[in-house]
Amino acid sequence: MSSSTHTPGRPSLAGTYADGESARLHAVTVTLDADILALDGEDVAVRWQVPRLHRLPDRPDGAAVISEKGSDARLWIAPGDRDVLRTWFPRLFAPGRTRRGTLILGSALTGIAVASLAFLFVGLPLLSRPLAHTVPLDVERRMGEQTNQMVTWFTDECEAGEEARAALDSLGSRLYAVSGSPFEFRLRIVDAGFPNAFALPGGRILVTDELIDEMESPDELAGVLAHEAAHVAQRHVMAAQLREMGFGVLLELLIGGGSGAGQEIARTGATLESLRHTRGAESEADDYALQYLVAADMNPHGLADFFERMQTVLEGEAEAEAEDAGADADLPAEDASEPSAETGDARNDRWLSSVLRTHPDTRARAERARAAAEQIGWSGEPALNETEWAALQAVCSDGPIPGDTPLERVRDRIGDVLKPGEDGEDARE
Amino acid sequence: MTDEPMPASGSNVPDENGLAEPATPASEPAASGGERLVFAQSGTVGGILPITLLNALLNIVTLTLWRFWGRTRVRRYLWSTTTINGTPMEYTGSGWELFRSFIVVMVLVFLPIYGVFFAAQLLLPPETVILVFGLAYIPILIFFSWLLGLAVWIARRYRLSRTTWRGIRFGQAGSANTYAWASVGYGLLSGITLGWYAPAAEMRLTRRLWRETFYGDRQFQILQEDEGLAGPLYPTFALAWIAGVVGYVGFIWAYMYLLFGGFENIGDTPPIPDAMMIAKIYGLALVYALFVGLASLPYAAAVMRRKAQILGLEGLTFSLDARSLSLGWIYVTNFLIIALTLGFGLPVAQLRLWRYIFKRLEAEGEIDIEAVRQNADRGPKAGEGLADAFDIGNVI
Repeated sequence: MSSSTHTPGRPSLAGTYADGESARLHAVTVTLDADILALDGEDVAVRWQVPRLHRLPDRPDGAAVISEKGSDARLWIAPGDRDVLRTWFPRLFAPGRTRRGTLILGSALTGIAVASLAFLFVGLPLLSRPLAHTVPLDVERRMGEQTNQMVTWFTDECEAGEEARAALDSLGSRLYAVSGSPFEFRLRIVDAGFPNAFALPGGRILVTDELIDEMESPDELAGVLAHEAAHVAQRHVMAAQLREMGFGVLLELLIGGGSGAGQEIARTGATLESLRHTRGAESEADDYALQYLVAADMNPHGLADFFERMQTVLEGEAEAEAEDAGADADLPAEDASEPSAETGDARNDRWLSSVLRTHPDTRARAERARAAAEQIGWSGEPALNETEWAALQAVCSDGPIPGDTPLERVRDRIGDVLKPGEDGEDARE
Repeated sequence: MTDEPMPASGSNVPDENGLAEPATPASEPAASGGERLVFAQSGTVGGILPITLLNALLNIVTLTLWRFWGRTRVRRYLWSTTTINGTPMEYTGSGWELFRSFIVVMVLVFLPIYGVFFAAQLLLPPETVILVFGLAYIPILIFFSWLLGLAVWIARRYRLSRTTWRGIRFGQAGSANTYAWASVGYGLLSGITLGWYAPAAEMRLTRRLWRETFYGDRQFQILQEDEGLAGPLYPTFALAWIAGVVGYVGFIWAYMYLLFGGFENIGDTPPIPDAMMIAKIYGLALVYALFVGLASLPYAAAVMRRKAQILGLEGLTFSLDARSLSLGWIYVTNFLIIALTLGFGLPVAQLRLWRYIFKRLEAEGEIDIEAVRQNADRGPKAGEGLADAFDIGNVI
């Protein structure tokens, strides 16, 4: 076919054509005949169906780029011919075409983002409680054991005498009897440089020796333990873990492995959100704790007493401004699986601390607990007798068990696994 | 802009539309036989700014879901402003392909990995979990660095298959798995040799990629065997390495001095750092980073030059005139652009580096372009999800 197949007189355009088969460029004459776009040049006689044409983004010099669907071929038409192209292909060259596409896509993606946010901030928190109650008890127990092991690796365990053990167990079983908890409470005292108590999944409750040292009566301990018991019974820790997992997975799906500012903002938002729910769980645990105390005939003022003591400690610290990073006298962070999650750096800034703290304002909690306790009668019997309390206070006073430094524990553990038949004593030398 | 002279074959075409402009379509030479190649880059900050701003806005309101489409637009701009003999390159990828691939990778790769870790925690006896994970640390690290190698290769294949010039695709052949294991092995060697293997590793990986790279049906060659591949890089690498060690020791020294208020007090309990001290420590870290960064510039420039130097395609050889000072200027200003815009200015930074490369890239010799046929490999159907999951998807 020759290059002059187009009807003389019909408008034609000059174009450059690459056929998608070879890297050769052809100068072509382009004519439109009804639904057929004809490209003619030396060795070129191409007929394109107009409905199958599509337009690619313009070249930076303004030249239009046209191709047929699914084809590697390209036709370039210089910017000066834009008016002709517009009359030839009104569909492809409609003004605002790409802008509309961007708008639709952007809106759709924004919709997905908003829906994901709604699920993360509303749906997931609502679902996490009921879901937590469907997790098999055995699974939660195992998770608790994992966390407990983790803590064991990184904290020193204290030698708790027979009497101290018995005292702890009796507190645990009295609370268990009234709480309706699916898990028995297993209490343990660990040696740590900060006052804190943690509820792990599956019924384990850890108390630091520092916390017991801060307390002046066993009733305060009972109050704190009742609070932790409520977390266990209500499976708050499980719900929090489910939320975190859901957050982690969904957030990862949304933002990928990215580390830009947008991603960081999303992560911070997620952390704040999780804190908000933690605070909700704290208030709830305070309420349940009072019920347990009443039911177990323990001093309902114990919790309020403890909060007030913590408040005094906090205020004292703020006044002295003795910022000692080691001794973190902040409130107990019950749910944190890692004790370091709550540090005291925000203490100077009252606003920040009230936002970031996992617990509601101590003073408010103390007032609520006090007001509720006023309504409640109690036999006046302390939670533990003098000797029991003394035994508990003595725990860890001599420091950790000798031969139980982190390094020795690691050696011990490796020995356990490598020589399963033998006594761990061997590995410990 | 440098360009080929107006070809004779274009003159039989009616020329009423200003086609005499160098970069317009009809200015291509139609000469048969060998052709020289001339690269040009005409991108401008003003040209990419609208894309950058729109991407920033949409990335915020879509919680970064827009990133796949945004990245595509940036690439389209960079590619299309890069011309070879007056014809721009074309980026034919789409945001959908990137998005789809990301979802597939998340569901098929990362959720199962997450699941395995979770199940291991639940099913292993509690006393041994930490130990098992401790012992598995190295294998897990190797697995992820293997996955990273895969990601690099797969992403490169996608990008090349979506790059065309004169309607002809580029392509990547070879095996992702082989490349990934090579990158793991070279990584280990670099670690064992305290970094001294790193230049060789870098060049050998480059060689693996480029010798399996195609333009149409033509394969790139590496004009240098493995031996001596990285040889010319070692003087500059030695400078960077020594500066790194000296800088580190100096940094620790100065840090101790600052923290304890003099060397005689080292060993006391360090005082709690106040704001002034923290500012000083940050300043010190900045000085350290600048020192090591400056000393590494000759190496970075040498790597760029060397990569171009070993490359061949048909009768072509390449050279890239990267210099320490000019490259350093690009790096420092790009760092500032990205830092001051909280990352949203990334496309501008990418443009500047891209422009730097293509303005300094030259090809010697000739190639019979018209004889090049289409690449039979259409490339993968979807994009670089694995790379995005590792946050290396933003590579241009």
